[in-house]
Amino acid sequence: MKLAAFAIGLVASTAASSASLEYATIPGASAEPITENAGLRGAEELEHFIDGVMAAHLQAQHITGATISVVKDGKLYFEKGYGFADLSKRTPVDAEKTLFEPASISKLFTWTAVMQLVEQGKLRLDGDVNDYLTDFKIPSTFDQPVTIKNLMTHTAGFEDGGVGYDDAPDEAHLQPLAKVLKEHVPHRIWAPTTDFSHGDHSAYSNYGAALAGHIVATLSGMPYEEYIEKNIFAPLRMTSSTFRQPLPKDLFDRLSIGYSYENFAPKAQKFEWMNTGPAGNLSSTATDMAKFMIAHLNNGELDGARILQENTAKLMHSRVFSPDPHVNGSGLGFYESWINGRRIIGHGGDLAYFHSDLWLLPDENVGVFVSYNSSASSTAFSQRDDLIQAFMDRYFPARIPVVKPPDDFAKRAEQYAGRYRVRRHSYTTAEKIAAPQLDMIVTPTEQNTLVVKLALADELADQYVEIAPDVFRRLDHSQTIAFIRDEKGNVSDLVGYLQFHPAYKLRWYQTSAWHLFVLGFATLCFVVAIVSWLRNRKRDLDPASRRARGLAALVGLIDLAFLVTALAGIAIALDNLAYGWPMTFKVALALPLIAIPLTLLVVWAALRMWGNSAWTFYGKLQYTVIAAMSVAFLVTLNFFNLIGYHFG
Amino acid sequence: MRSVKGFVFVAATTLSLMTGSAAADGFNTDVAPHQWIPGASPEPQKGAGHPLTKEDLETFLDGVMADQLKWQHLAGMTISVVKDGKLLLAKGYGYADVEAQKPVVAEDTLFRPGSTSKLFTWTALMQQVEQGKVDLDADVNKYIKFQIPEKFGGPITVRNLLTHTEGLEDSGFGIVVKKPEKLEPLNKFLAEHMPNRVRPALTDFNGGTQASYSNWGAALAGLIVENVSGVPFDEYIERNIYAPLGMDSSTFREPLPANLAPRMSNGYVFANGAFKKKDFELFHNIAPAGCMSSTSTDMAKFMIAHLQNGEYNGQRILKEETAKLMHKRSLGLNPMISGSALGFYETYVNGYRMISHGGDTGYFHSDMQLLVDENVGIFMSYNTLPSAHIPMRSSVLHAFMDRYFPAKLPQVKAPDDFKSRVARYAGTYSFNRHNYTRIEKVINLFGAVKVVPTDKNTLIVSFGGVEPSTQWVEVKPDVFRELDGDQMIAFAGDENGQAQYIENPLGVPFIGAYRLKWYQNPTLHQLILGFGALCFLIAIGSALRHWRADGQATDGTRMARRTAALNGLLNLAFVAILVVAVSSMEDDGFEWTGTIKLALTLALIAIPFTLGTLYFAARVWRVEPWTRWRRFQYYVIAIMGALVLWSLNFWNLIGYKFT
Repeated sequence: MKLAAFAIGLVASTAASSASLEYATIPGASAEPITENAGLRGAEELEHFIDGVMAAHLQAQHITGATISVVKDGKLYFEKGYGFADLSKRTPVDAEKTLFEPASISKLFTWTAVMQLVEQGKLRLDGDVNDYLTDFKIPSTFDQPVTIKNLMTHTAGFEDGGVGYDDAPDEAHLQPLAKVLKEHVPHRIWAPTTDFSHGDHSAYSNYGAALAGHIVATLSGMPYEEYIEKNIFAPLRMTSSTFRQPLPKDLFDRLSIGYSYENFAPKAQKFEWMNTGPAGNLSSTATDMAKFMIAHLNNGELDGARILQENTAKLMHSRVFSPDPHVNGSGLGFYESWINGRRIIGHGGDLAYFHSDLWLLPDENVGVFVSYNSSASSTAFSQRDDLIQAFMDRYFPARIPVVKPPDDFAKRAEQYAGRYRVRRHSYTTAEKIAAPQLDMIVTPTEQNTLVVKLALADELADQYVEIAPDVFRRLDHSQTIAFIRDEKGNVSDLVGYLQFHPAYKLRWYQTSAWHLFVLGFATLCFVVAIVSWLRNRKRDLDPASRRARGLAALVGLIDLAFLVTALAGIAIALDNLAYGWPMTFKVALALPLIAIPLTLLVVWAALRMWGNSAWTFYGKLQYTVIAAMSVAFLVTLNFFNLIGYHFG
Repeated sequence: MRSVKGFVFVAATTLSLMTGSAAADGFNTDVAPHQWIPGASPEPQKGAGHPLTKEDLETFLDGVMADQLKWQHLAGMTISVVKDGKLLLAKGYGYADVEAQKPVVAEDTLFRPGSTSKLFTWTALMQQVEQGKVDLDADVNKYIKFQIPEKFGGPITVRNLLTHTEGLEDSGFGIVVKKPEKLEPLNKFLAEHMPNRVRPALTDFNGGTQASYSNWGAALAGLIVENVSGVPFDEYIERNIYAPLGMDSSTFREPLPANLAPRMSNGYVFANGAFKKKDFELFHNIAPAGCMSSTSTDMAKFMIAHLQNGEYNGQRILKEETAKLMHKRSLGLNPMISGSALGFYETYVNGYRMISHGGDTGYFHSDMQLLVDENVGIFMSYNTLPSAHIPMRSSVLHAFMDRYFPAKLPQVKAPDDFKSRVARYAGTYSFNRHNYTRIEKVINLFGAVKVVPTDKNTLIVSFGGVEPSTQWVEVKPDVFRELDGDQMIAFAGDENGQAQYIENPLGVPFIGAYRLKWYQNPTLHQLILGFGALCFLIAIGSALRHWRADGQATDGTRMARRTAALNGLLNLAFVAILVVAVSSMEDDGFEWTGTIKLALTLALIAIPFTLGTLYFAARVWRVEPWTRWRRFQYYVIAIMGALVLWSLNFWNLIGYKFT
């Protein structure tokens, strides 16, 4: 009774602030769902269809195995394994038996556990996380505290990080969750979101999810893994699921191997160990995941067992964060993917060799879980998008109106053009060097559309057409993106491209193009400086000139040595980079520190040089450029936090 | 009854005559059956597959296509499947016109089957063989007005055309035109664009080493049909194949007849996130080799006719014996790998034999597979150039076979002692289908077939990225199976312990690969041309730097530097102009342009300067003011100039080698 009352109270209190958070369609441009004949047509028909999708997937994309389950109206509707769990032993994937690694889908269990504690009154959604942390605190960088709701919508303002502590190379290097979270508190980059009705400041955070799991453990007085077992797995009878690492023997024996594709053949990879369990440690079967999906679609209940009160579940599934009314938003942990005019909530998950997704269509009472055990191609992240699209187009189709690009778009196009960077990256540590990996490029076309593509995956380019001011729809698809403007009215962010996470528009000095130019041109200058010193070391008679050239050459040598050792160190250790920075890289970081005073001396020498009549104008100019580039080089290193030892 | 008996008699006589004449002329047309390798070949699991019903197939294909069209960015495709003499399923997927959102409709939408059209030409040719007007083992010169020159001491026979063993080089120029006015009559075009014979026409069809696909040869077969029947090729097909089979939505004509034109699917490329429509392709110049337009339901009728050995709906296009002869294995370069029938080539998947023909135009990609023993046939055609070279057709075929005709594939272990034999296989090869005697040869500068061993005792055969690669396991000396698949390749020939040929590197017997000699290796030529370009730049820079000083020089240094610089300038200009000309070639309809001739002229003008540079290189030995370093630099420039000239000549870029 008390619980129920609380739950209602909770809904009432949040209803006020989230009542207006609705996805807004645009007539004539948004997908119009075809309601006639929509829906599944029988398990057998679905099986044949999925057989076809998977045959195409596995064949052409070198995927070793996959597992899938589909639930409908409270029941398991269809499940099947495809391909192999162990290629060399020819063990087929069995939906019921084979465990996959759903990775970040694990977070849905953490969020569910959080909501259980909210129901019990042990946690408040708008409570300060520091109120629940006993062993360490999140620093009060901003006036507003980080709330539980911030964690659930990835709006806490944490920077990203993980090298050396998220993953472990083997069992011996596993660390307790509390220790990892305490020792690697990320910097807070933005004030946490308080108004969830719009927003350009969300950044996906594994740390935030792991922190929520830690709070669950702290408040419940038992390890996180155990809490989930008792409060989710047990009531739902998920007997083939675990958050434990190493896996219990009987489950480990049924775990699928993960595969890469090297030298034109699948290659078995070792198990991926993780310290931040609540963010991604789950191992489970398609059958077990089906139970979890049903429980959520039933708003908390499965076969008489209840894991959440109805209103709590509904709140969790509702749109509580809306970056823009026209793009995908987020629930509490679940995020939206609108396809064919229908609302889907769910969560994806990626390890190095497992790619999974879970989708719920609450209005249709249908859920789909899929997991692939291979990373065979650059499109490994898009297989599941193709799968759900195929599923939706067949069973929940829509007419996508043809939208003619506005003729006068050209005059507005340029303001959107540029490079955008997902906010999820490191800002204060050396991990910032990975920041450009998900950069997007927006380019206007002659057809009055915009091309949006990932800088590193050209083949994933899509064209978008303007359907409302600052709102665009994919040419042949229902997906919409929107641009957000800053106070001055300038385009500042792109939302809706990668889930609900915004990507900020880069200024010229933040772009990879600029950084590569500086590093390239500086490299050339360093070579010139060294050659110039070699050629003139016997000719320069005055000590000042000799010293100047020698200094510039020395700086060049040190900076080049840094580039070579740092890059080589990373390249050699690339496969193990997640487990920690390689020693060569750490040693290399000493070089820029040595270069700083020397570079200042070069700048000083360059200034003095202009009064030296022994130098030609060209010689002076050359030396000045070298000095300037030596500084620019260090400024660029500083941009990536490579001056000093900045590890998270 | 009587007519059947009469047919048998006539056919038997013709057949015996064929073998008789073949024996007399030293032909070996007695081809051994395909052989399986116990423990390595797939074991068909008959009855274990899904029942091949319309419902099961349609839902399954819906799934395959939903995925394939999306992630490979294909605008549309059409597919038909026939079984036991009936159309089981015909269905269109995606769009025939993306912009107008006009869907592909199997019965209505025309696609371009490309080289799959050749099967109509081969069928027509066999009709003439059946009528006794053409002899399979006769010299083709007997049936044409112009003559293929005598070479290698033997003729090219009709059977050579049917098996692509005529030994002709490949040539693609002039085939595609931009405007219908540029199309020429078949006889004229073939006479004017005759490729050269580069190897003896095959006489031993059971153990020869090389077949090499020839569009010209197939077009010639169409010309033979035209000549001996007295009916123009397009019309011949209409009267003798389309009419009896009721194929009323098919034509070889270009441009399309007015009633069919509106039903033609657009061709597409996908670039920058959107489909780009392409113009209707015109290649009627070699019509019999591939310029058909048709629907998948029409193609289904043709498949049924062949699966029923010549008969469809009471109409007969081939006599039973002729059809059987046409489907029989007639070329076997190695008994363990797929060979070819007459015109059809063999494909083995899951232990089932198919006779097949694929087809590719610039934008359309098609395939026809007939499971002759199961009375099942599949035709498919896509209307988009795939963004990556992903084998979409074979992906569909394998998905289909694994579902309805599955097999257990034994795992093969790479032999532990493979290392001792690796040297026999490893190395650089080239596809044999290319041009040898003309400027077109230069295409080969950009790709080679590389056979590289892995540390797992397997081989990787890679094709410079144009086709997907895989790992191969030795299952018998010279015979390899795909690591986790049932495709087979074989090596053949021997020189100093090294195999000289790869059979079926792409899974079809009509394209082989031969081992390159060191001086043929494209990497060597790329190095020479690249380093040569650098030397040319240095030569030019050096002449410019010393321009004023050289102007006052009284010794030979001025001439030396300026000759080398001019040589470099001419060579670089040649390359620059050639690259520009070739990159705009598609817009010019693949014709020899004045720009290409200009470029080739520059290369010719450069020759005396190359020689001059060599002369000065010999002289600078004695020039006092030059330092040792400077002299050395000049020698290198001179030698590289000579090597570049040699390389350009190797690629037929010296002179105007157009025909």
